[in-house]
Amino acid sequence: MTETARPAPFAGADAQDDDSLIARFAAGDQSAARLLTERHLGRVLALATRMLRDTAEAEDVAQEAMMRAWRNASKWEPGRAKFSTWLHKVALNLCYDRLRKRRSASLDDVAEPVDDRASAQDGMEADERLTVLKDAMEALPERQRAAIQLRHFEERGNDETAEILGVSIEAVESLLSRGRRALRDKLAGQRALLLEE
Amino acid sequence: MTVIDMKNDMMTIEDFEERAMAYGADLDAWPEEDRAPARTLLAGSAVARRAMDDARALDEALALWDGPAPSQALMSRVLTDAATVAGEAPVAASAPALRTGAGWLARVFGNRPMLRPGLALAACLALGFVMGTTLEEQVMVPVDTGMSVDAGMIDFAFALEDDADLLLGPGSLL
Repeated sequence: MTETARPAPFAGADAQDDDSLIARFAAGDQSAARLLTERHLGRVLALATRMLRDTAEAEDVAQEAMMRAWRNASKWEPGRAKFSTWLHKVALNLCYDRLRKRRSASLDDVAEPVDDRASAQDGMEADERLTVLKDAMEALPERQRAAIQLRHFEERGNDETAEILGVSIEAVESLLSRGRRALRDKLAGQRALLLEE
Repeated sequence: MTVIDMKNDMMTIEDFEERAMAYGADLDAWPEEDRAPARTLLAGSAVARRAMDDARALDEALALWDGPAPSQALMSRVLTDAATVAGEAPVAASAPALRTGAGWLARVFGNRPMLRPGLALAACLALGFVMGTTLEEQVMVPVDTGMSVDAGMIDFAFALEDDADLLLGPGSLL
């Protein structure tokens, strides 16, 4: 089993705000980089994994998003934007790029999109239920999928979701509503499977 | 309750269904202004309760999908990137030392503006001394003197080049 590192909780002795940590990192304090990584890497990775359904690609996206944070640390303007919002926006755009490349690759019939379906088709019920859900999510338009990721999984507010997606708050509600309705319809025939314990 | 309060508290069943579909069955996740009217509707409408059951079923389905925790390997890669970027910063920050002039002299004699004319004079004297001694050697040893002069000049040029590299960093070569 892969060794994993759980993100550190927000509260406690390390609960310094992100702006201060970015400033500390820009001044050469490596411990600030560790705190920022522990705080944000898990969520960025989860977002990328759900968007891309490929662990290796999601890790690349998470690493690249963090790299852009390090490279831009000296230019960071405290209070202008929320660091986690900026970071998620970067990660989401990297995901969009990769999804676009996949689409053009599949149009050229170069290779099948890489995903984790094979590992989920081992006959285990939980995996089967999860696969049904992932397939349904993958079939959604990107922005509907992203809106559901940010609101449901990340528990971000409408205003922050709107900022990350670059749309209005009304558009977020519309994306969520259409996305979840489409999910519900896709899962309608699978409801018994999805809800069984 | 005023007429305005009553208006604010009103929510159509269509609005309720739309919100339930967008935000799910947890009313705390709904926009704050919609929560109270939603509770009122839930208390009195079977249609609203069915919409909430639908939303809850979808929430529970979504809850099956946990995000992965980052591996130690990924953590290490990210922290290595951070260390690399942090390591590049001091080199870039030192670049202005050459732009202010006599960077290598400043490192030897200290960066004191008052001494700069003196330092420049000292540099000229040193350069004159080196040129004078190598030319003298050329005169005294007529055979193969070109080599000795060239070697001296090349050493001097390398010394300057090395100094410039240190001050400007790898980016200066681009």
